Parts: sequence; structure tokens; C-alpha cells
Amino acid sequence: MSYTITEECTCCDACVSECPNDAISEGDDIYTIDAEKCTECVGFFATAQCADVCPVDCCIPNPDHSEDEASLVEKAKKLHPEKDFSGDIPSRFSA
Amino acid sequence: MAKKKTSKDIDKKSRDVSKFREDILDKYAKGKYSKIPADEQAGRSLMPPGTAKSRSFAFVGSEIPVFHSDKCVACMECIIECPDVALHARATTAEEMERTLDKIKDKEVRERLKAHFGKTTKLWNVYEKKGKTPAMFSIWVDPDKCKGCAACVAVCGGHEALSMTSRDEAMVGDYRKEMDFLSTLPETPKEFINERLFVDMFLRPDVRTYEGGAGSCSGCGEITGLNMAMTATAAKYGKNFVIVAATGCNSVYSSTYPYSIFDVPWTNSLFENAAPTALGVRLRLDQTGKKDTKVWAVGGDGAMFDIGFQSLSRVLTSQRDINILVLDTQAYSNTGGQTSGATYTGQNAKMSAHGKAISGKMEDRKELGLIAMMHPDVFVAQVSPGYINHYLRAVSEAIDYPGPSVIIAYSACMPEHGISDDAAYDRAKAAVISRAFPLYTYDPRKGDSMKERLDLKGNPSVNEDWHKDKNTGEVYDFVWFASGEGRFAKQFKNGKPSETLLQSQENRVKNWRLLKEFAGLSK
Repeated sequence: MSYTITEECTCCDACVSECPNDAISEGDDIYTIDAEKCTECVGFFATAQCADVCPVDCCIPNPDHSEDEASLVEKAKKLHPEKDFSGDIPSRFSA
Repeated sequence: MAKKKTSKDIDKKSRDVSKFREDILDKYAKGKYSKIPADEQAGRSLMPPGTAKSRSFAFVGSEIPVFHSDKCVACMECIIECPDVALHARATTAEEMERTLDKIKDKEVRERLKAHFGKTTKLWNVYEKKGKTPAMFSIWVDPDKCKGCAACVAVCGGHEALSMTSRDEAMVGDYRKEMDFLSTLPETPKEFINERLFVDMFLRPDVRTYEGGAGSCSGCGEITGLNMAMTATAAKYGKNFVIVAATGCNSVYSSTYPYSIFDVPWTNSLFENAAPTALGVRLRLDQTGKKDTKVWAVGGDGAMFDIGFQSLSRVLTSQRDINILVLDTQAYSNTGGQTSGATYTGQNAKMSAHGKAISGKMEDRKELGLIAMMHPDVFVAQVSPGYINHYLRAVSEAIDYPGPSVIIAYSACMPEHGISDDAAYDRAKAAVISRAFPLYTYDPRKGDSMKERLDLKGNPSVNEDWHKDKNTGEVYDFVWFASGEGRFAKQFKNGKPSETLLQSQENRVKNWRLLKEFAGLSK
């Protein structure tokens, strides 16, 4: 699953700099998350950083884009070929 | 024999705002100009700071905004985009709200005031969910500052938390009473100001360096940008900064006697020398141990792209901590809209008026940002008030940068662009979307190569030539941008763009591709 931003978004910009995957950008009306780049912070953090920082709780798991933990780890590895993912991989699923 | 006045005495008097108010401002407000004694401060070109706070524009506009608290989401955009700082926001606990309202004896008035407070997801639901005391959010309109441009309504857009209504004397009276009430309401407590949100800095009382009263046009997009830059500076350094203004709209609307708009030291010398004057100020501050004081030089595109270009270039090689803000309206706005180096191809401007011989400006726009980047280690950014976070972030980074920085800000200009009073925000967004004015930051701290330093983040569809609407497929190219502004109206015949406009579009996409190449994004 990737995260998505609901229309409650106030375009405050707080999530953009928190995202380890550079997946968030300003859309036409509200901010959007690129599902191809979102790993739900798997590989980096134990919680989704955008959801943590959002002042209106509008960053939520995307029900239309379901992925399991293993595929999210693969996604993280593909997006960050330079990063060493050996050892314990931080993930919201194991938190 | 009377003691001779020293320059120290005069300096002291120049800072005495209450005396100035009594002697000058009150008489100005009543139109009793002939009763004003000769002002020896004016003879030395001195004015106390922030005197425009008492200036009233109550009857300039025919309309005034009404706030609908049930629809507000506390995004802060109206507060930031208002060119006259006429809108004020507060976060208040329910308990404090009741306590302050209790002092109002008239039930009808109390109900009207209470209707200003609303529960937003940001300050109520989320705080409650986290087990913290939530806050009510309210917005207030100062009828003496509001010029009725309706920019706030346009910015609020689909939320519809603001609408315009016709203004009359009774209404101005009611709004003034609401402002009196606001002055009894405590400032927003720290726990309701999210430090991770750039926009929330506008809730802080300590960052207000401009509180309205400028002589700028109704809806002016330029002063909004100026206020954003000064607020972002104050958010980091308090009021420990000075402004050197180049002659232009910005010097006129901010210092026409007896009204000065800023609460910080401000000076104006000439059209062409703001940057070197700022360098002189910088050197003197450094010499006297005031290294922490920040220095801004502010000017339009006429001052910085053209007339003061050489002296700007000199300052950019100084390696001194100086920040330059270029309020780019793509014309000499103050003198009536002559062509500048920043004017777009095909733009109908004076000195290149559209007619038989030429169809608007025939040369291409000069890109001051690219030229500034080629000076040794200068921080450069191109920003737009339509992109608030990018703007505030870029300014924050620029003022922290230890050397010279140049911020080029898109500035919507009603008379010279041929747009409506409420259009500044939409046009500032459209300029970015259409590649007329791409956003970027160029930070020498990021590395030694162009692609490490140059960041195009913030522009839509960075990998494409043009941004398209996902649903309709409409292409947001430069012709689309031009079709929304009177300055390009003569480039359309039966809805079709002229050869000149298509050339202008070609020039814009070439600039965009060049930026992409520098940023390492070319395919």
C-alpha cells in the first residue's frame, strides 16, 4: 500500500521534507503522493512520516493501492540502490 | 541663549512616534495640511517607523470581506496573501474565548463576535484526538486597512470561508468594534503555532514588521511578496534587520510622507544604487560589531535587471551577508509600465507598444537569476507568492546563507499586467505552471556542480515541457498564461495566438529546458 492525501489537505507543506522517498509534491489543488515512490516509510522509519507530521491527519493508507511489507522493502531497495538495507529494516508493520 | 540642538536630539525626536502623531499624522488624517508646521525631520529625510499603522483606507473599496468560520480550515493563505495585512487570525482556547466574550454586555454584539470562532480539523479535532487542549480559530477584518480587492476570497477559493459584501458606514463601524474586541483577545499561544508549518509564522505577534497602511494599489501582488520576505526574516532574526529600498513602487507605497510602513530601519537613496548602499550599511554594521543584523536591498526589475544591474553585480562579488529582493513585475510599474529587461516577448509595454512597426516587445526576457548564479557563490532563488511554502523556505535559506543572496519574486501588477484586483494569487500560480516564471533555488552549500546546487522542486510536471491537466488534458503553456492577461491581449486574433506570442512561448520553453539541463534533469 502507498499512502495518499485526502482533500482535507491545507497545502501546509509539512510532509514534503519529511518524506524519505521524495514522493510528495504540490498538486493542482492539494498535495499528492506518488504511489510509485511511496514505501509507507518502510526501510526508513517505524511510522509513516507524512501522517506523523500532518496537522489535519489527511495522510492515510491508500485503500486502492495495496502492497505487503515484502514488496515495500523491494520498492525501497529499487528506489535507493545506494542504500544498505541489511539488518533490521524499520517498518510500520513491525512497530 | 537657547541650547543649540545637536543631531542626537533630532535623531531622538525622529523616533518619537507619539509626538509625530500629534504634530503631523492627526492633521493629515483631518486634511489640515496647511496647519502643519515645517517638519525639521522631513528636512533631514527622517520619518519615525511604522506610522502607516494609523492610516485609514476605510472608504477606498466598495466592498469588504465577510468571514464564515464554519467553512474555514485554518490554512492561513488569506492572511498571507492579503496585500494590506487587513486580515488577522487567532487561535484561542474555548475557555479564553468565553472569558473574553463575557466582557461584552450587548447580547447581539456578543453573538456576532462569537460567530467568528470556528472549530477546524487543524486546531480542534487533531488536538482533541491527541488529548491536548484544542483551540477555536477566528479571522478578523480591519476595515481601515482593507481596500476591498477581494484577493482573500479568491485565495480561499472552494473553501468559501470568505465572501464580499458591500461596504457602508455602519458596517465599517461594526468592523471597527470587532477590531477593538480583537485587541482584547490574547495573542495566539505558542502551543497552537506549529513550528514545522511555514504558514504558521503568520500567527506569531513578534514577526509583524508591516501592519498595513501602504499606498499600494488595491490587490497589489508585489507588496504581498515583500511582506512574506520580511515576515520570514523576522521569524528567524526578530526585528534585527534593515531595509535599503531602490526607488520604485516599493519605495513610494512604503514611505510617502508622513506614512512609513515598516517597523524596522529603512532607507532609500536612488533608483540604481540600493545594492551598493546595502553593502555600505553591511560594512558599517560589521565594523560596529553588529554582524547578526541582516540587510535587505529591495527593488523592482527596473532597478535590479536594468538600471542598477552593474552595481548589483558588484555587490554579488562582495561575499558579504546581503540579501537582495527583486520584486519582478516585468515592467517599470511605478513610472507607468515601460519595458524592462524582465518584460516578456510580445508584452505590450511602453517603449515597445504594440502597433504597426512592432507587436509588443520583440526581444527576449533577460534571466537575472541565471546571471546571478555565475557570480562566485551567490544564493539565488526564483519564487512566487502563489507558492507560499516554496517562497518562505527559499527566503529562510537565503537569510541564513552567509554570502550574498538574490531572491527574484514574481509580482502581479494590476495596471501593467491588465488583471483584476483579486487576481494576484491566481496569476502568480499561473506564471509558474506555464513556465513563464519557473521556481528554483540555487544553493552553493549543496555542492560544487550546477546540478547539485540547482533545485527545480515546486514546479509541476518537472520532466515535461508543459504541465497538463490530468482530467481534461488542457496544456498549460505560455499561450494559456498570456490569454489570461491584458498585456498580451493584442497577441490574439479570433482566439488564435500571433507569431510573436508563439515566439515568446518558444523562448519560455527554451529557458525551462536550460534550467532542466543545469539541474541535471534533461533526458
